[in-house]
Parts: sequence; structure tokens; C-alpha cells
Amino acid sequence: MGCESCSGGSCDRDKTGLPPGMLSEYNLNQSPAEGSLVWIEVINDGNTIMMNDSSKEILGKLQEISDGRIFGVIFGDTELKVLYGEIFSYGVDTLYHIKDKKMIQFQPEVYCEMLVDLCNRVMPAVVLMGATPRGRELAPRLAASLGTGLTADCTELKMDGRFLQMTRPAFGGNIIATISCDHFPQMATVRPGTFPMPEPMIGREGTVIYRQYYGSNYKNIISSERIISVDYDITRAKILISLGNGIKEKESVAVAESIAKKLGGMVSCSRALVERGWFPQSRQVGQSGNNVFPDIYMAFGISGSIQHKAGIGPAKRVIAVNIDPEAPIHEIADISVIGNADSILKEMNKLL
Amino acid sequence: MKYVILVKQVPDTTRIKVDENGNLIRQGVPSILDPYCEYALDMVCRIRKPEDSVIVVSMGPPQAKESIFRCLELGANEAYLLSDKAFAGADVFATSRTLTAFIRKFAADYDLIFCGKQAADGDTAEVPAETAAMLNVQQFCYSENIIISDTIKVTQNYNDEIRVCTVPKGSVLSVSIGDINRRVPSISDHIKALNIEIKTLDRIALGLGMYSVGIKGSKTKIESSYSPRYEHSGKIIDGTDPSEAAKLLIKEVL
Amino acid sequence: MIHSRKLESDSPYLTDESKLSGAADMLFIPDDEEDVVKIVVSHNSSKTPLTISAMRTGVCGGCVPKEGDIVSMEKFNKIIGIGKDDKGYFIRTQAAVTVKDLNEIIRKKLYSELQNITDDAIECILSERTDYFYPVDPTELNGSIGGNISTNASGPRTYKYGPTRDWVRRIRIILSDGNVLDILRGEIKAKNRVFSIPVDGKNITVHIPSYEFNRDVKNTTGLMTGPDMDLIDLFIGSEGMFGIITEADIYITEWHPLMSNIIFFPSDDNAYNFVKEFVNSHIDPEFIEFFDTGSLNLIRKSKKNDPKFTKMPDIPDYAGSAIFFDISNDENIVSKYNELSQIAKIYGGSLDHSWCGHELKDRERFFAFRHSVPQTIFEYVASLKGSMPGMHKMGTDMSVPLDHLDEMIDSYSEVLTSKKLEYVIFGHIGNGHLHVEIILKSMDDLSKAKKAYRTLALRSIELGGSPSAEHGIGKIKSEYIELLYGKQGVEDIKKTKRELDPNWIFCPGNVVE
Repeated sequence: MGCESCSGGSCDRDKTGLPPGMLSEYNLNQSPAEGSLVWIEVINDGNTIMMNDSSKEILGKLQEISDGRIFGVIFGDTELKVLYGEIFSYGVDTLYHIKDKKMIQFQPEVYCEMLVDLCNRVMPAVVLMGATPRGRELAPRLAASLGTGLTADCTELKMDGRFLQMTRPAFGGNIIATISCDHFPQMATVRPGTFPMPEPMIGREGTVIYRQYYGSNYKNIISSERIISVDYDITRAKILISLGNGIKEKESVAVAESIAKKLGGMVSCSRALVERGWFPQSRQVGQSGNNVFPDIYMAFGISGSIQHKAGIGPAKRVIAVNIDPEAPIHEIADISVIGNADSILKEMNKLL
Repeated sequence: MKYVILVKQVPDTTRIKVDENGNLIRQGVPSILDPYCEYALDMVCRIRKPEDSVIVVSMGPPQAKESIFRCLELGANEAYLLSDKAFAGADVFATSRTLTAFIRKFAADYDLIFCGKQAADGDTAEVPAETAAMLNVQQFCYSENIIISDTIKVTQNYNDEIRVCTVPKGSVLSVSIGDINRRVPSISDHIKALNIEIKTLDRIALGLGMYSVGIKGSKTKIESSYSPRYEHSGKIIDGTDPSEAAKLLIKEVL
Repeated sequence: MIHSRKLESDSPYLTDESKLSGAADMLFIPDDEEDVVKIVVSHNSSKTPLTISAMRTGVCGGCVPKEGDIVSMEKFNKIIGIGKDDKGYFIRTQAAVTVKDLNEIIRKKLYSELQNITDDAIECILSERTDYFYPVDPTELNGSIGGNISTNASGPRTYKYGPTRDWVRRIRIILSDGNVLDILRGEIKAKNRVFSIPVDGKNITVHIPSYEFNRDVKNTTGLMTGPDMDLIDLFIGSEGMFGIITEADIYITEWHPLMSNIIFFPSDDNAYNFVKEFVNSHIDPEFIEFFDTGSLNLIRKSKKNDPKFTKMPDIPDYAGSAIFFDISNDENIVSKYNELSQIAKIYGGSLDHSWCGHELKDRERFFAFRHSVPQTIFEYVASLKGSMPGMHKMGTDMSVPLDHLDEMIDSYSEVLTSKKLEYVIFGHIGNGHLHVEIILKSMDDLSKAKKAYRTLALRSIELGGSPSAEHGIGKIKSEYIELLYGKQGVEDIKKTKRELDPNWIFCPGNVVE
């Protein structure tokens, strides 16, 4: 095929944008970017130190879609050494450990400075982190500092060579868009729980490289307090009893907790009940809350807005209890019970 | 003190519906001031002293003036709309760059910048941190409470951690909670807002090049998009008798 | 095709929002006008009563059958076309189209699939710069156009735009002998109080009642009557006594941007007195609604359980009553507000002590706030039903001329307090039409309330008002006809009924026994 901008037919310049006759192997302007870099979020509450699940999920996905090198980055002091083996077992080849006592606490400005430095050194093609509250704060700062684009909250990633296709919901889950980035590194945050938890490859080894921060851009943190136990994570529940605006009696919250306990599940809710102040936001299912992946999702008194339905898309079975036969939740329910959610909850609790 | 609030007008996503073919019905969907932006404005209005100036700025089409007007009703006293055809199609990078250019040129002596945690249309939550990075200042996301005395202290909620930090002047804060019922201005507030001019600034006024803004200044590109459909085919059970329904449900779950 | 089936005793077709329950044998659902004619002719020849039904949103049992069969017009749900005459644009709809459907078509301008009733009407309206709306705006949006016409429905905006009657251009109605009557406003007028209606080549003579129909207040008590009246007005508000409406032309009018306002006052008295001056000002509100201290406290209480209940912020502590009104959001708004400020000041109000909103989302919140009072009461009554099955809502629907509103309010407090009943007052104060809702606690309260109700109805008549301002008479208020018009009035209505429906098949029990 000839070149569109030349009038002569002899030019064989193709769409690579290279000068005529130049083979792409010799394109010296091409970025050398390669491999992926992942910020591995560490949960460190003073007693236990562990890798955040979303980091594991990202590493698993990366191995599935790319055969490039995987760089990991962790921030903290020597206490993180216990994690090395685990981090390698999930596929990290080279781990950068930014060692500093002050780094134990999340410091977006400093983390960002160090990541910019690392990216300039390593030149990854892709930078990923979990779309956790901290990941969603750090990633845009890094993207702007590197002068690159960022796709937040991805639910699917595909790689073609070193080029990344990122998919994310927008407009309250009404639109799913696939996005590409024309700069390296291509950055994305990944919605926790979207990708399956990979099997660790026990005994796998890698290289650790220590680095230190010499700047002084630390935040002045006056106090920091852990609030909820990480155990109550509705995104991990196999059975979810979920309550919505159709629940009229506050007592039903306790009833639902009791049922969940008996069934080995957890209790979640729709936005309406967070707004009523009956639940913390961490229990909210839906576009502005959490995506959940239960085997059974039981929606009591939830009408099923598009935002809510987006959050339960991956649920294996949906059971809806709602007095309103027209409620949109029934459109996606495997079983619809048309009845009073409060009293059915009560009865279930009695029978169990 | 001089506060700058970055706001956005968004379609009211709670009203968007999908037709049988899975396409969004945008016709007749009203635009609103993003609820999180309103929380940010609320927070500023709570802490401001009468002599403080509260500047709202929004990048968007001319219709975004409606949302800016609402900010004026709720207590802002200066307003700018960054509007230019060239701004269309901007991703977060280009948007943050445009907002940063505004701040450098028209509000360089600000004390604090406030944003909503995220916007209801994109849910990306990126503008606060990108703007902070471009201005090279500290960022405080998920802010729930702010106290101004000799120093400024902010409470941030990371879901598993509540932290309190000292905020240096010049920082960017993103606000995640507020009154669940949108505030309602009084008639006096409305009349006051009618008397404030909303100034419009274009690309030239901000001193930005063609390739710094809009789709040309963007780093990401939307390749394709579609509306998802969620379908299960379900059976319907009459739940008039709660105990019968409960029995059936338990059978299904166990 | 006519769909028909036998009715079970618990069928929803046997009741409406009044929760009155009736009895009937068969349900007929016609597809088109031909079907309706067939049903009517067969019922007329066998003299079987036929109760007309559609969306069943009435609150007086108008569609609840006493005996015989039901004809449900629910399949007449198509909007037909659009036309234009010298009074403006009108929409031609079938009878069971709901007000909500009508609003939707107009709001979204979905005209292109409709027929042109007059030349190029669709092209014309699509090229207009302004938006249009149906101004009657009844609170119940799920009611059908046919039902709205049959009851002459009204809503808050009736203050400025009048009731349904003023917006009906033409109706098509099936009479008891199966003949179809197509009535265009202005075509047939009564000679004094006698109509001569051309039907099927002959003329039917119909005498209309001799009483004076009160048009000075909002009024749906009995048939409209008057010398030289238009024929269409006999059928509007006739509650299905004379035939089945199949089709109607409804005028729409130019929409203008609106501002919703709530202004708070320290006490109830302040608010009444404010309204008296407000109606005579240049402010020209679209409607004026009132909330008394009791109503505001009711909302405050509900909001404690569910902060999102009204979708509004908390009612300020200083508020003892509130006035809710819409005004046109145009270039004169500041001068209107200045005038408002002057009047409000006299009665302890201030523009600082107010709420306003102009965005659709906000204006809807204001209406939700207005609606939250009856809703709270409705839910409260529903919660009593468990222990007291016979319990139902007791709300008044009486209007009086604005000059006598004080006296009416005094009577409310006198009569209800003497019976030790708790109540709240809210509603269309601009039309002198307040709803008094009695907060019932026991069955004993209910019987006391019923007695009080009759006393108050008499009082409203004394003051030149109407005991049923907007809900109609149906089957639960027929005693008011005699109260208002005497025995002769009842006989007059029966006479008209017999002339148009000799076998008395249509909706027996409505308006008169």
C-alpha cells in the first residue's frame, strides 16, 4: 500500500509513520518502555502485615495477559521482609522496596516522587494499582507527574504486545467504555474483586532492590486510627443479605445480621440505607459502593437502580424480595418473591 | 482566606434510562451540579468567615452556568466558567491542566482548593490529585471534616483508617461526605446570586495551546463503548404469606 | 375484540383509592369504540347496570360497582394526534391515557408519530420555540383523562389555570342507546335550562337542574348547571352518569420556567393573613399551598426516622407554618420578590426565612415535600389497619371563598377540638380549599370524626363554599347533594339522568342513589 501523503506511487511508507525505507526494527524514536510495574499495597495495622488482595488479583491478571517482566514496589521498613516470598509467588520478578520508617503510613506525595523516579529508571510500559481508596489517590498524582493518561476503576484489561486496552464503566454503570492511552507508561487502577484470586506459585524467587527517599515532602499526620476490621469485606462474601429502601423497620437490620450469621454470609445494603445512616458506606453495593461477587445475592426491598444492578452484575444467583412487582430488580432476579421484605426476613430468622 | 472550588456539571445519572436496544436515553435528562462538588462547597461555606472569598470554577459548555449559578446561590461570591470549543473531549489530564492554568493565572494567591471526591458521570476521582500534582502541592482526599484555627486540620476517611493531618496552605482537598439532602437556598440567597456575574474564560484567556487542551491534549482515548445489559430469567413467587415465602427462600439458599 | 371474564370477589376491579369495596358479575374490556357500543347496547336492552372504570385512582368510589357488570376502558390508552385552533394546540387522546403519559409526550415532544388533526399541527408545534404543558396538573398523575373529565379534576395549579373543565375542547361519548355523541365546545348550547341534543337524526330533550351551581369556589358537588350552558359542561364532572367517554381533545398551553418557593411564618395566623394580601398582589403565583404547625411537626417527626423522607433539609426550628407557591421565573422576579418581602415582613416572615428552587430536581423536591403530609397520614392510617380493620382516612375536601376562610378555620378548630380530635391542616389555601386531616387513634375517633365532618360540610355551605371541592361525590358523599341543593336538587339530577339514561344503566349509585 502506498503512502497517502506522497503523490508518487513508489513510496512504500506505511502507517508506522517511519521514513521511507526504514524498517521498524531500526526505529530509534520508539520508546523502550517494557514490562509492567505494580504498586503492591500493604495492609499493616501494627499486628498483621499482609498484601492487599487487589494487588494479588492484578498480578494474576498480568501474568495471564502479558509475558513481560513484572516489577513490584512496596513502601515501608524492614518489617515488610516477611512479604517478599509471597510477593514473588504471585509473579513479581523484581521487587523495589522503598525502605523508610516514615513510609509505613500512606504518603501520596512521597510515594509519588519515588514512583516517578522508578518509572524513569525502569521505563515500564504499564503501571497498575488497585482502585482502593489509596490507589485511587496515588495513581492520578503519579499520572499527572509522569505526564501520562490514567484509566480509573478498570473491570477488564487486555494486552496486545505492550499496548493495553482498558475497560471501565461510566455514567453510573450505564456505559462500558474501552480506553487506550497514547503515552508510556499506560496507567490504570483496577477495581478490587474484578479479577479472580490467582494461585500462588510457592517457592518462586525474584530480586529485591532497596531504595531510599532523601526528600522531605512528608505529610504531617497528627493521628491515624484503624476503624473497621478488614474481615467484614462484603466483596468477599459468598452469601449476601442485602437491604434496600423497601425495608421500613430498623429492627430488620439486626434480623438480617442474624440470618447472615446463620447462613455464613454477610449483610450489605443499597445507597438508600447508607443515606438513612443505617449502614456505613463500606457495606454499600453498587456503582458508588462496592462490586460484589457472591454465589447468592438476596435483595430485600431493593428496587434495583441501574447503579445497583451494575454492582451485582457478577453475582451467580440473584433472589429478589420486593413488594413491588414492577421493581427493576426483578428483571435480573433468578427468583422473585413479591412480598413484604420486613416480615419475610423475620420469618426466615425464626425458621433458621 | 481565599478558597477555590472546582465544580462540575453532570447529567443526573439517577435519571438515565436504557432503551430496549441497550442505548442510553439522554434526551430529557437534566444536568445538575455534581453532588460531591456540592459537599465541597458546603464544607467551605461552613468554615468561611464573612470576609473570605469563595471562588467557584468549572470547565464545561455554556450550559454549565446553571450549576455555577447554584454555587453562587449556596454562598460562593466569585465565579468562572472555562469554556471553549477546543476544550471538548478532554480527559482527566487535559482537564486538570486547564484548571491548573486557571489557578496559576487568575487565582494564584489562593489558600486552599476544594473538589468533590468524584463526579457522578465518570466516577474517576482523578482531578483532585492530578491538579495537586500539577500545582506541586499536597493533596488530602476523602476529607470529611476540616477545622481552621491557627493551623488547618483535616480528617480523612480511607474506609479502614481515619487520619487527621495538618494541611499546608495551597493544598488540594477532596470532599466525600455532606448532607444527604441537597441544600436549598433562601430567596435572599437567590437574589444575591442574580447580582454576581459569571465570567467566561476561553483557551486564549488561559494562555493554553491547542495541543494542551481538549481531545488533542488528552492522553487517553475512548476506543469503543456500549451499554451493558443484565439479564437473568427468573421465576416469580407470591410472597403474600411471609412464612411460606421464608420457607421457600431457605430451601433455595441451603 | 371484547375481552370478558367473571370477577372474583377479591378482584382489584372492585375497589379504588377510597378502599370502598363493591360487587359485580362480569368484567368487559373493549378494544375499540365498536366494542363499547356493543357492550352498552346489550346492557341497555337487558337493563343490566354497567359501571365505568379505568385507572381506579378515584377517592370517592366512582368506579366501584354496586351490582351488574364493569366496563374497563384500560385499552383506550393511545394518544391519537395533535391539532391547533384559535385557542391554541390540543392533544387528541383516548379516554384511558393517563395524565402522566400525556405529560411525558408533551415534555419529550414525541409528536412525530401522532396524527395531524389540523393541517401541519405537528410541524407547527415542533417548530415552536417554547415548550408546552398540560396545566391542570392533578396530584394523582396515574388517573386517566376520561376519569379527570368525568370528575372535573383539579390540582394546585387550578388556582391559576382552573380545573379540567377549562381545558377540554371536545369529547366523544357513547350514550345508553349506543349512539355516539361528538361534542365540540361551543356547538350546542342550552336554551335557558333545556338542551335539544341531535342524536341519530332525532333530537333528545334534556332538562338540566334548576339549582345554582357555585362557580365562585372550587366545586365538584353535583352536576354543573346554569342558563344557556354549553352541552360539553353537562358531561364534564358528571361522574359517568350519562355515558362512556372514549376520546377527548385536551388543550395544552405554553410552559414558562418556574421558581418554587416556600416561605416560613412564625404561626398559622400569620400565614392566613399573609395569603389574603398575597392573592391581591402583583406577584401572580401559579398556586398557593399552606402547611400548618401540625403538618410541619408531622414532617419533622417522619424525618427523624428517615432523613431522606422529604429529600429536603430539616425544617428550621423557627418555622410555625409555611406557604408554598410557584412563580414565573422571568426578568421581573426580583421586583416580585421585593413586593413579597414587603408583605411577608408585616406577618413576621422574611426572604431569609425561605427556600427556593428553580432546577427540575429541586422543584420536584418541593412537590415531594408537599406530598409528604398526606403520605405520612396515609401510612399512619395503614399502620392502624392491622388492629382496626375498619379504619380509613378522614380528610376534608371543602372549599370556601377566601374572605370566609378565617371563619372556616375557626369552625375546624372549634368542632374538632370540642370532640377532642387531633388534626392537621394543609392544602390549596389560594382557592380557599384546605384539607383537614384528622389523626385518628381509635374506632371511636372515627365515628366522632364522621359526625364532625357533616357539621363542617354544613358550615362550608353556609359560608358560600362547596363540601366537595375536588374529589367529586362518587358513592361516599351523595348525602351532600341534598345538603347543598335540597330534595328538589336531587330530583332534578335524577330527571336529567333519566332523560339521558332511561334504564339507569350507567354507574348506578354515583352522585344520586
